Parts: sequence; structure tokens; C-alpha cells
Amino acid sequence: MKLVSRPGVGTIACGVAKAYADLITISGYDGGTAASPLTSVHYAGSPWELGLADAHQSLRGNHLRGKVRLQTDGGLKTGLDVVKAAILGAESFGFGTMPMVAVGCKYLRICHLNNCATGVATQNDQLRENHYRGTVEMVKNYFRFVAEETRQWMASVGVRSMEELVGRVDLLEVIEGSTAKHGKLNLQPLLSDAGIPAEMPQTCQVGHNDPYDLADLNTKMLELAEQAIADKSGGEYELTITNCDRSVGARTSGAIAKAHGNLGMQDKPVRFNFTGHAGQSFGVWNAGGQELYLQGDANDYVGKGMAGGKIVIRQPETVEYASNETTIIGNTCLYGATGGTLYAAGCAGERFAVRNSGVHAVIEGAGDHCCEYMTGGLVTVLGQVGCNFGAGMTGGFAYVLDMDNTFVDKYNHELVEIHRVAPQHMEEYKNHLRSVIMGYIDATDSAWATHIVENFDDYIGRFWLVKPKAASLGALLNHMRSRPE
Amino acid sequence: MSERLNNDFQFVEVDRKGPVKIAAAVRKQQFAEIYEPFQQKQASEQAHRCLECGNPYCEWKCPVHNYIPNWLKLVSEGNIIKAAELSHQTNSLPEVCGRVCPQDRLCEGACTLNDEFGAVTIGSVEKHITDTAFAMGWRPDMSKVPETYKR
Repeated sequence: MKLVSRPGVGTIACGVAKAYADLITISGYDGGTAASPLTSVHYAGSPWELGLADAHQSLRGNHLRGKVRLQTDGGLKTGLDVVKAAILGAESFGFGTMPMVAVGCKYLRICHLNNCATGVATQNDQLRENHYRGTVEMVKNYFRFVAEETRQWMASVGVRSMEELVGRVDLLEVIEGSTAKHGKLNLQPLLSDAGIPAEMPQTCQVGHNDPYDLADLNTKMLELAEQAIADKSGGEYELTITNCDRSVGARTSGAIAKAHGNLGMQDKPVRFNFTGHAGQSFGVWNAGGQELYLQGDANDYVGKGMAGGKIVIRQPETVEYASNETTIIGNTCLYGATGGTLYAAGCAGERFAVRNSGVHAVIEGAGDHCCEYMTGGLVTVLGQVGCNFGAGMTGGFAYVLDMDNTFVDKYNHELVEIHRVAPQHMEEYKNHLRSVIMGYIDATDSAWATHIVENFDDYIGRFWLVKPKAASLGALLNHMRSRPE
Repeated sequence: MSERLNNDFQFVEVDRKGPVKIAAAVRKQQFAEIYEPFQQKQASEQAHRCLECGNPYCEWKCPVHNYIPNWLKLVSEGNIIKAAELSHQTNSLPEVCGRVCPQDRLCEGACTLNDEFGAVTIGSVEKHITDTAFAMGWRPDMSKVPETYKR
């Protein structure tokens, strides 16, 4: 986990270590800033020295230092930098700029343009073939000298190994300072052991920061489907799920993507039918070729980063409440998802489909900030939404059913505009909307959606189509069809 | 104005090409320019070859630290007046420097592209900026300059 060196980074580092990170990088503001805007170069972050000392002391104080490796980066160049970083608590050191310079980088700061004249940071074949001069030996040579200088410094302070050096703040001395103000800087907090007993470990003592959650359900799913994935034969499995099972489906998705690519198993999907209450991140990074059917409800982050496939969630048959009035999935679903389908027969929490760039989703209600920063895909909400709909939305489009005529006040007017679906010239969208709802009914048997389709003429006048102002009404559907994620 | 140039690979696709040199036989007869002036289109094309390096080596090498990448960009966009204003911020006689500076040892020598692609024709563009701006009727703004009675 990479953390920006800034005030309070120690607390964040402790949280990250508790969440079973194996390695924490404290990243300072110096060094590699090749493609960042000057405002970031000038005003973001603080030196790694401050953040590293803070993180090291906090981790030790909270009995976590022995569980996690601590790295630092941000303009490390020489062996002396390495030694100082080790003294302040790092056992691993990140180098970016200098090895790049060793292979020929001239610090042009145009890495983001793909036209690096030295051929270091470009995909352009001509520049790479004809103008790149770097070799592995150059980098090796650079690091050999860094290592050598590190050894010299360690020898001069009488330390034999890195293990002994980490956290030895007593080896640093405060200089007088070249000006009166400089001399008055109080650096003691950086150089203290924060009152933590010396027997607390200074370095990582374990190979792997094992999580408490063993992901039993994911393991079981992979066992069941392993053969079907390898043979690309598809299959269907019944399982129960509880809210202790998090990130369900991630491991099988990984197996599918590894064997057949993200969308390689679309035509022969493996299908898992769950009953119960899903924990966080149900269907996270779902690959094309994995279909998750859940009867019950799910927590936050359903379908986060999903790439393809299908997630269908509906309420248990035994309940009697109306699906369009009840929440079925939590907050921030479909965060950054790139493709696939999500049907959830119920309402979603806040920030539904934030950063969605390709998923087609149908739900029956949403909280605030629905479709925030959306750049692609289609969201259909068959019910009420919260405020700030479509903030920062620059792509894709949405249908929203507005029963009490409040949507005009709820959507964010900055980047999106809304149209009625009912008028004559919108015939194409009307049919499209109907087909979207039909697909939803097929998967979920939603009573509310069935009611809408049966009385389509009564409801069509209450639908809005939400689209980015920059997109033309005529091209939306074609664009959707040309990219049928 | 023609379409604004926007090609990140201009330095690969367009070679360094200075203005045409006037034949020695002609020059022997007169005391005048060595090179023909740049045309607007050619100046823009050549100026657009600049990579706009984050640490402009040309600017650093220039004894008066001219804002070279910045006015090259203005020229490539066809904004001669702005370029002339900028050029005069660091240098009171840029049209002279454009002609007599040893660019091959200074800005053009330090140019990132000098090693393998051919440096940007900084000198010729510098000359082009002020000459064109003068021809367009532009004059340096002297209103803020205090009189020293020393000329």
C-alpha cells in the first residue's frame, strides 16, 4: 500500500497494517515527478523523512511494526539516502528517477505524451528502436555503487547489517543550523523512539501478513469450478453465503481471466446460485463468463471493478415487502466497473455506479450521487433517486423513473441534461428502455418491473433519459451497440 | 489562421531545416543578410518540433535565460505578438541575438533533440519573431522604462 507522506500518515499506516498489508510505502514529495502537473510538484505531499518517522513510530507503538514491511521512496539517490531512510525506519527503498536516468532518461518531463525523445517512456517503436540506449548493466552498475556506498556508511557507524540499522535514530545528530531560524528547528520528534521499549521489533518479523479472513467461500467456489474453467465447459453450482464472506467471486474471476482472458468465457459461463446475505464486494472484478445469482441481499461495493459477466440479486421468495421500496445492495456499487450486467431487484445505496465505464445496470431505486463520474455504460433506475444525480458524468446514459416529479431538482445540472422518453422522436429509446426492462424481468422476476411493463403506456411518460451534454442524442444508442460490454 | 499544430511527434516527422542560405556570390556584392527569412508556416513547423522539456536545457544554457520553449510554443500557435512580448522580457535585442549568437554552442547545442534528431532552429525563430512583429507594426513597450540620460 502506497501512502503519501503527510501529517497523520502514521495513523493511516496503522490502519493499513491492520487491514493485512504486507508492505507499506511512504512516498515523499521529491523525485520522480515526470508527468505530474507543476501544481502537484509544488504543493502536494511532504518529505519522506517526516512521514517515515511518523509511520515507523506509530507502527511500533501499536505493536504492528513486526507484521509489515516499511518502504520509502521519493528522490532517493545515494547510499547515504538509503542509510538515513533505514535509520528513520525503512527496510526497503524505492528508486524511480535514478535508474531511469541510468538508462538514458534526460528528465524531459513528457512521459505522459508517449513521445519521449530518449525512448525510455514511450511505446513508439521508432523511438524505442533507434533512440533508446539503456541496458540492464547500466542499472546494475548504478545499484552496485549505491550498495557499496551504503556499506561504507554502515561500516563507518559500526553497523553490520540492515537489520541492525533500521530504527537506530541514535546514530543521527542534529546540526547547529546555518541560520538562527534553521538552528531553532525542533527535530527531536523525528529522532526519538517515541518512548517505545527497545524490545519491540524494528523490522518486519513475518513473511506474510496473513489476513484473519481465510476466504473459505472463494476457496470452495474455485474447487467446484476449477475443472469447468480449465475445460471452458461452464457449469452451475448452488451455495449459501453469509455476510462474513467478502469479495466473493474474485478468485474464480481471476482463474477465468488467467486462463481465458477477461471476456474469454462469455459464451460458456459458470453460474453460482447463492442464497443468503453477501458481505462486502460481492462480485468484485467479475470476469466475463462468471454469473453470480444471489437470492437475498448484498453489502457495499457489489460489482466493484467488474469487467464482464453478470450479477443478479433478488429478494428471497419468502418475504412480502415491495422490492422497489427496500434496499437490496449497499453503497458505492459498480465502482470503476468496466463491463457486464448488474440486475438488483431493489434499491441501491449512495454513489451507485460511480466511475462506471461500461456496465449495464438495472435497479429499482438509488441513494444520493448516483452515476457520479460515470464515463460509459447504462444505468436504469426504476424508482426514486437521491440528490446530485450524474455529477461529473461524462459518458454513457441513464433512464430514471420519476414518479413524483422531483428529478429535475435532484440531478446535477453541470454536465448532464435530461429528456423525456415518451415523445414521438424518442421511439427508438422507448423500445430500448422496454427491452432493457424485459431483460431485467427475465433475470429477476421483479413484480415492480413486471407491473411497469404491463402498464408501459402509463409509466413511459414518467421516465427521463439522462445524458451528458456533450453527447448527441442520435449517437447514444449506436455507441452503446458498438461497445456491447 | 491555419489550423493549430498539435503533433507530439513533430520532432520525428519533420526534420530540422533552417532558412535558405543566400549564395556566397550574391553576398560578396552586398553587406546584408546571410539567410533568407523564415516564412510563417515554416517557422511554426520548426518551432513545433520543440518537446517542451520539463527542465528546458536551452533556457538554462542561454546566458540571459530566454523563455525559449514558451515563445517557440507561441510561434507554433501563430501568436507572434505575444511571442515578441515574451522574448523582450529577457532580452532587449532578440533580433540581433537571433542573428549573431553562437546558437550551436548555446541553446541549440543544449537542445534535447540536438544529439539524435537535430536541434530546434531556435536562432532563426528568434529572429523571425521580432522581424515579423516589427513588420506588423509592433514596438517594444518603453512606457515603464525610466529615462537615465545616459545614451
